[in-house]
Amino acid sequence: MRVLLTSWSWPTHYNWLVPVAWAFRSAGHEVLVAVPPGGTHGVTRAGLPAVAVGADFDVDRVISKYYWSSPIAEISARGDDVDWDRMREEGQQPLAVYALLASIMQDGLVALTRGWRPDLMVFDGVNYAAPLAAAACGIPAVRQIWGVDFSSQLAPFADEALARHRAQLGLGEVDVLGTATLDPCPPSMQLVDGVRRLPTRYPSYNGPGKAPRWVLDRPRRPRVCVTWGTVSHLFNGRIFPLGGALDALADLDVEVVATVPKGGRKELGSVPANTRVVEDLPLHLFMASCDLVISQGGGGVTATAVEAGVPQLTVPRTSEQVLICRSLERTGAARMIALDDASTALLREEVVRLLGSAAHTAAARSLMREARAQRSLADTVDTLTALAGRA
Amino acid sequence: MRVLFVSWAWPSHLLPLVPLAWAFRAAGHEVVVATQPPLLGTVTGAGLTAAPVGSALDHAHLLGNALRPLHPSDGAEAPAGTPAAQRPGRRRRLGLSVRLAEDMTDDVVRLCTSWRPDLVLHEPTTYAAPLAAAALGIPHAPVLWGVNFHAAAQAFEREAFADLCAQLGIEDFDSRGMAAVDPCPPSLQVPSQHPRLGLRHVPYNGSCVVPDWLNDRPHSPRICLSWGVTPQWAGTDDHAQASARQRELITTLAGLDAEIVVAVASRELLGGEPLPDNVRVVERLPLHLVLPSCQLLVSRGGAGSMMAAVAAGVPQLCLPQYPSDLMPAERLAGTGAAVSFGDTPPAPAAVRDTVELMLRTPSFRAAATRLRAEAERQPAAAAVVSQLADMARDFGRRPTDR
Repeated sequence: MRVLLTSWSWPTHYNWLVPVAWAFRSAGHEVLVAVPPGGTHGVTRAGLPAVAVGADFDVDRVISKYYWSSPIAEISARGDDVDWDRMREEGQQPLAVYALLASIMQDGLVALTRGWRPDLMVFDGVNYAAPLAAAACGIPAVRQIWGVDFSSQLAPFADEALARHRAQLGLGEVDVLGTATLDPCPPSMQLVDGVRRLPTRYPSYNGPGKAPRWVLDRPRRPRVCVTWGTVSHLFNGRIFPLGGALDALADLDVEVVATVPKGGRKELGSVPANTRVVEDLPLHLFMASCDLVISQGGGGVTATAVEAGVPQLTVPRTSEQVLICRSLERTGAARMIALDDASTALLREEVVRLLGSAAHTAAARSLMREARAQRSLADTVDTLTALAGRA
Repeated sequence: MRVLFVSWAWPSHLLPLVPLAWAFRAAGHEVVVATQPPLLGTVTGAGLTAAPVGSALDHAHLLGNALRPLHPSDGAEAPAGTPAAQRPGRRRRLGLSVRLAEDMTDDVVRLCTSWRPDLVLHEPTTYAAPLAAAALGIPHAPVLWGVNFHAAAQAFEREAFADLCAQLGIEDFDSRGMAAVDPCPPSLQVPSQHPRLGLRHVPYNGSCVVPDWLNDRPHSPRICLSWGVTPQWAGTDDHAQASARQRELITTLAGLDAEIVVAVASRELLGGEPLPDNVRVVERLPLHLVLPSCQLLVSRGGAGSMMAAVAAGVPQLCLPQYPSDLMPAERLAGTGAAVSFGDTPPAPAAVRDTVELMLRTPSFRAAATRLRAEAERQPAAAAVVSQLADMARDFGRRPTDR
């Protein structure tokens, strides 16, 4: 059958679709990945055929306008979960950014779906153009999430946020949660709600890479990975500085691997002697060799660490990251520091505690076993093929 | 489980490993793909992890020396007086494999020693893999690209790799490994006594941003003309002559009421002059994306294009260019899904007449559809992955351990 996968153009979003697309291909299906123009390179460099839909836009400006000025940003910096019911009462519209994205992608995606006639759509959970286009064309749409189900919490806002979009297509209600949800999250970490999930074991995919020699050798000292993810640098000045995290580790007897995006080494400046800075190196290449990972608590890095059984320390920034980090903390595999509380001294203290903690290591291992006990992507692809009526 | 894939740096040999590597990843295994430096970008361009082994040899030159065209340009014959050992032919071809293994084996051994894979899978002519695996006691298996024209050369292996075996301190090795992973439908494959793991073929000829025209239905029969990558980069043919011959063939075919899609690695190969309106020249557009919309594939019958057309159920016209192309083309013709020119020079008018005949004879499409159905009945990659993983786990265990 034909499967159309679609996402927004951030690698943290479309990277999740890559293993799914390949699992469909391995099973003999045709796939196409539709992203805005800025994302096509990331798709083709995963060996997949890309189609550009919609247009690129200044993400930084949009996020500044809709996110940083909202009360959600403040709540998240305190490390608190957002009370979405209260947000609704206060008339907040957290889907504004995504509604804008949907307008940009909607026409192109509908045209592509009508032309290429896929049997199934798989969409990044916040690419709302997808359930709209799928509904307009009468095909099932399956939602892809990347951990604790943040986008399901936003679903109650969708009806209003997408009213104009629906009207354009002559659609009544549209289920933005899709026919089913592809879920890489270990069930013990996941929200308990009525969403139809297909828990699945995902291979971590943080982009392709060349494995340097040191990745293949075993470290002599405890290895700590410090990463602020793929796109956090766009949150300039609004996150705990990466350099500050490295300073916190400077006098410890550990080997630090700091990952930065391409070209980020120069920006980081000088680093402590025990730090190795790597540019654009996929985390999954060396995560298993780490004893601890310090991050912003994003979906990609936390899932990669869970899959590798590595304890985590997080300083989340966005409401989604706070949700992920709090869930992780409850499993015992991670500790979280609120951005407002974060300091070099506190970070160091937590690192020392976590590195010496058998309990955290055991919890991380147990979470890894849980993640790995899920059905394989190949099995889930069979389920989806049946769901599309093409088994 | 850790799985190491190894191929020397030639696209048509490396690319067939990609879908299987992803199937291992989808099943939760760790995968590294080792190749020589020139193709590291091809590995990462498939979303996989690459590790360098060996050096940046002049592969086009090596291949050009090893392959003698069936229909050489004037003056391209091996000059008289060339020593027999350097003359093209089967021994010479294994000579290329030996040269590649000499370049890669040490690094593959080093990589296996540090990364400790549980299983090594390799392209059939990349001997560094079975040699290193044999030296270290790691289970290994070749992944075939299509019709196994290399099988005959295996009789020469022992002699050809004697020096490398001695260097590694092993007495012998078997490049056929535990079993051959074989994407070729059995009716097309050369019969073999060695164990075979049938695999549902998933073609992978690279990736691209899909052009709009590919999503529309063609108005007239679409014929794809492809030369793969090997001859363009490596032939001893003089480029200008090859280019002139290709243009003549394209122009002749364009006389048909059909859309001719010419797939080339680089447009420059066809020269700068304009081509007829019903000819569309595409650069680096993966064949597996074009073929489903085509009525016919015209190619030299290289494994990558042949297998992509088999998977798409498209009839083929094979114009063999090298001796190693002859047997696969012959076997494909035997299934009824193709016509092979064998070693007859492909005169443009004769090619056009054959294309016309094939387009109006339904039996070719019917046979290609049967062949595709046979390919689709082979076990899916997910099943082959679990089978290989089980075999690797059992490898080396004595019966009493089980």
